[in-house]
Formats: sequence, C-alpha cells, structure tokens
Amino acid sequence: MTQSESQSQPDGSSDQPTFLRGIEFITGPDPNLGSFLLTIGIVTCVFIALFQFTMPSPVSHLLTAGVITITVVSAGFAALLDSLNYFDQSSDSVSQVAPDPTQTSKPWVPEKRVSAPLPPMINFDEELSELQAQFDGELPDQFTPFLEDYRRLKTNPKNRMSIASDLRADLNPISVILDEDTPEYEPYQRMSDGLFRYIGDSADHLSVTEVTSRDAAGEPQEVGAIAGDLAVFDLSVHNEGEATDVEVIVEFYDGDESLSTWSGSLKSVSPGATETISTNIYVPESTNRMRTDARPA
Amino acid sequence: MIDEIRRANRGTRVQYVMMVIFGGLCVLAAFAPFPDIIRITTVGTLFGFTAGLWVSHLIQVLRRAIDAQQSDVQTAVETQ
Repeated sequence: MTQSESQSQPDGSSDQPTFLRGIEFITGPDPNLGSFLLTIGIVTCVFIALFQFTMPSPVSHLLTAGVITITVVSAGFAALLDSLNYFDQSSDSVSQVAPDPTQTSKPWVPEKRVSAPLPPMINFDEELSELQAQFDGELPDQFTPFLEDYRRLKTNPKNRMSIASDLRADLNPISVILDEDTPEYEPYQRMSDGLFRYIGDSADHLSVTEVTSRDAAGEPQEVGAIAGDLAVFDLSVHNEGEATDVEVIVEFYDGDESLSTWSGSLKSVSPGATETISTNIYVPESTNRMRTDARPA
Repeated sequence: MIDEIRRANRGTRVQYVMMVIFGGLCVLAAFAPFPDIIRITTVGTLFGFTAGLWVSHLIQVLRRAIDAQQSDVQTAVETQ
C-alpha cells in the first residue's frame, strides 16, 4: 500500500464499521494472545477437515502436513511476540496517548509504564498529593524541575542514585516558597529526609524488624534460656531501599565478649518488602545477649 | 505517529481480506466438480497463497513489535 492510498482516506479507521475494526483484533491494535491462538486453532481444524474430506489420499496427507507446519510456525511467532510483550498492551496504549502529564491532575505520574517500583523512602506520591491539595490543586512553578526529575526517577530504575541527587537540588527553589511554620513544610521535610537517606549508606535501608528464638519444643525463649542448645531463629528483614540481596548476621555475646557469629542470605528482597529467614543456629554456652544486623550482600 | 498506526491498520485489513478471499476460493475449489488433477492443483495453489500471506503478515507484525521495543529502549536511554 502506498502513501497516497493511505492518505486518500484520512479518517478511515474512525468511521469504519465495527466488523472491519473487529477483524483486526488478532494482530491489529489491542492484540490478544488467547484470540490469536484460538483463531489459529480454528483455521487449522477447518483446513485439515477440508483436505481430509475432499482430497484423494496421498495429496490430503501432504496438504494436512502443510497446514500443521503453518500452525507450528504460527505458534512460534506467537511465542516470540509474547516474549516481546506485544500482546495485551491496551492499558499502555491508552497511557501513551494521555495528555501532557504536567497538565493532568497528577503531574508526578509518568506517561511510560514504570518498570520497577520506587522504594518507599523516595516514593513521594503521597507528599505531592498533600502539597497539591494545600496549594489549591495546582503546584507552583517552582515544582516543575522537581516533577520532571521525579518522573525520570520512576522510569529509570538503573540511574536512580544520580537522579535522586538532582532531586535534592530541585528541592532548593521549593524551600524558598515554603515557611517552616506552615503545614506545607512537613511533606517537604519528609521528601528531603527521604532523599537524604536514599543517597546515604545503602546499609541503612535494611533493618531486622523482628527476631524470634524458639527451643527444640518450638516454644519462644529468651536467648539466655537456650544457651548451649540448637535453637530455631526467625529473622524478619525489611528493605526500604532498592531490591537487593541481603546478608543477615547474628552475633552472640557474653557481656561485651563476642562468642560466635552466624550469617545467612536472602535473595533479591524487593523495595518495601519484609522477608523472613528461618534457620537453626547453635547458641554458645554462656550467651546472655545477641545482636542482629542486615546489610546488602 | 497516529497516521502510521492508521496506515499499518489498513495494511493489516487488506492482508486479512486477501487471506479470506484466497481461503474461501480454496474451500470452493476443494468442493468444485472438476477432475482431481485440476482440483488438487487449484487447492494447493490457493492454500499456498493463503499460507504465504499469513506468514508474511506474521513477519511484519514481529518486525513492528521489535521496532516498538527498540524505540522504547531508545526513549529510556535518552531520558537518562
């Protein structure tokens, strides 16, 4: 089809009958893997039946083999297209034709799909909503560079550290228009603190939130009561930063003297997730206290 | 961009219509009261046309999907 032919009907797709729009559903806009495979299956059955019932013996087998070959090739294409995320992208296409985000009610929501969620400490959607409400539904111009970099932060998971540094700088013009005594200052302060923590030591993003030690009978016990025995420890680790492998450390003490150290690992703890590791650890005799720590592996 | 999508849609539509025409003629030829040799030749040819159209259509769709993904990657790199 040439360019002139396509331009002769500029609005052809908008006023065409529903039936013509419907026949594009397999590989046209808003494609769907289920309908794709179903159609291939139906056509395969129809052609095989046709050839088997109407053609003489050796030819019917050859044509049937041809149909099956085309079906296998089509299934291969379907798998390839699925791996390229071609199917079921209707929500993306809707978001791609959305108007300029700076003109929408939530200018901090990017047009592109977010591939990796933001860690809780730098997810400022709530703070920005609060600030927008306090500025009567429209954020001042001083927020524009911050919002642009914040949208970049959401859509570029590999480069977040440097973008977070830019965001810290973008807070400066905002601080000029905010007074410490006003309610707008609190969400601003939370954003500033969150960025400060994110840019700082990544070990601070991890914390051991809960430690449970149980004896052989399964009863929860203080660490001093299970000294000299093998005990079951449940260690919950919360990650406020980016997804990372985590090394969990348990150290047993007699007063200030370290008796032994155990370490284990958790694979790929997601942002905002709390994961628990359960393990058997021998608690040295004379242990009277323990220390736990979590850090990136 | 929208014009490109519309043009691609029209191309898709033409390909489907041609597949339906050749597939329909293939069915008709299979039931036609002609000697076997003519029926076999016609049915084989028309089926070949239909299958060829379908595979070439799939290749176009695959190329479009790869282009779309590469342009996504390009956009992500540019915005970094």
